[in-house]
Amino acid sequence: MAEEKDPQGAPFSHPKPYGSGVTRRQFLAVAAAGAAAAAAAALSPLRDFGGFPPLREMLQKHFTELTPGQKKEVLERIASQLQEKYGAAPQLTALPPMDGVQYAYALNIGRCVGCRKCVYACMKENNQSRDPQIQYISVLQMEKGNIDVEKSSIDYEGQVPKEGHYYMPVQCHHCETSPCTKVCPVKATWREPDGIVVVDYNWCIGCRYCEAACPYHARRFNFKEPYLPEKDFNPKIDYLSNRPRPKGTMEKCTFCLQRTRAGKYPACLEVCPTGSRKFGNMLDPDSEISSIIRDKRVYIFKEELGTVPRFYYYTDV
Amino acid sequence: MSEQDWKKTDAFRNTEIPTLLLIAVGAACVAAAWFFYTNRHTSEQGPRAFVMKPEYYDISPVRTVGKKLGTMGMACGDCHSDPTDQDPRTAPEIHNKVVLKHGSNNRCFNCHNNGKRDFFAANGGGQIPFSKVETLCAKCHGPTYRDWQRGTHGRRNGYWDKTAGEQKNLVCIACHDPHSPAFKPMKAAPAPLKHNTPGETH
Repeated sequence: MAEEKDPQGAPFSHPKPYGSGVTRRQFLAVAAAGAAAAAAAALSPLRDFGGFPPLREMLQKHFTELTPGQKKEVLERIASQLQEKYGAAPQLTALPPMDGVQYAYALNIGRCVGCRKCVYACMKENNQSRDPQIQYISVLQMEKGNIDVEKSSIDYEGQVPKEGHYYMPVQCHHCETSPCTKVCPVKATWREPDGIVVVDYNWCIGCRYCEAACPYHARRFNFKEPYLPEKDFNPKIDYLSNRPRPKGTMEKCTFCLQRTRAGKYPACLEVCPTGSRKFGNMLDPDSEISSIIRDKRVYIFKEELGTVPRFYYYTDV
Repeated sequence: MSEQDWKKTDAFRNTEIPTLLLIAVGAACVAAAWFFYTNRHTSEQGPRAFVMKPEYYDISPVRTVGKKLGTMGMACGDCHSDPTDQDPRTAPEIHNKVVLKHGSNNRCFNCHNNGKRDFFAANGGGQIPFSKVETLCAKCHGPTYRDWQRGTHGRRNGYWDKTAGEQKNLVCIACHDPHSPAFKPMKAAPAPLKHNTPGETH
């Protein structure tokens, strides 16, 4: 049998297979290289993996099951982690609910001018991620004479209030029959005895069922590692509210639990230039919130859903 | 194909192609490792972080409230001692700049005490000190004054729990200009970022 010769006349060239000019071995070489690259790409989310959390953190119990001693240990561990990350020594607390206190919030929908100061005071107080940007309050610009939120907008700029519009800030309503806590498969979010709906960021698995269940779009998810500059870090923090959140956890308004359980007003109320925001103890008959519920025209957003919010909109009569 | 051909081909296969294969796989592994380790910390850098300007969360009220009734550091009584029968707005200097947009309340001495200029005018000509300005407004705005006392109108700052700390009730003129009391328009803080990209909004 005569020896085959290719056009260049090379004596030992590999016989060409049918059709293409690729041999089995060349194909395998490229396939192996491709497989290695594909494996690298598939594993690329692990680039963000910063190592395993300490064993004690992995084995930490649910927040409501911690004994006082374990709670102290957990707070110390988190405080030292945060000090390492942000430089400043945080004042990390786990304030308990007060006896005889049921919190409620009211917002004068006729006085709000839509300046968004509440949004940024909230960000400042609650250590939300600046990149990606997380905000708990959405200020809806509504058409006058209309309560259809589908016709609202949140992207207005410049001088406010705009002609023919009113403003309706929406945040967590702290519902008495909260749909978000019902759907949580691991009970990482629950309603506290004083009416505040909280999230244990160490227990949250990031399934986002609660976000889908919330009819007010009040919950925010940390899709990326939250970025908070050291200079913006608020060191007065509480376990259940404004301590910095890890990636992959859900967060939301907590009525500034770290402030309100110490007797203070929430940050969004403090900053409101119009005095539209009112907060207090519903059980105290002399509080402004009791007066509003008793004497004012109160509007409950999506009342028909039966969520029984602790957040009321009112107007002066 | 002869047996010799196969041997030649095998020799070829056993030397050059595996070398190429090894180089290719090795290069892929190096590339993968580089990909891993150079990009490890990009998500923590946050180079395009949103800048929080202090005016976005400034808690000071829209107006500053002085300690006394007067202008440019002087009390009204420093210049005025006797009652006048003129409209002060016709007088030169300061008073002609006052623009009164207070509805049908368009007379200076409805609120200012003509006899004692450092005081406001109570009903029947009485005196209301500057520190009790809300009782002046209450002369006409009864329901609003009631709401202010209950805390449902106006700003309250500090502590909701009065046993824990001081509760500050801001007075009417901390938000309303008494000569033009409608709440003034203000510039809104920026809209939320669209897809979290600065400069873009939803």
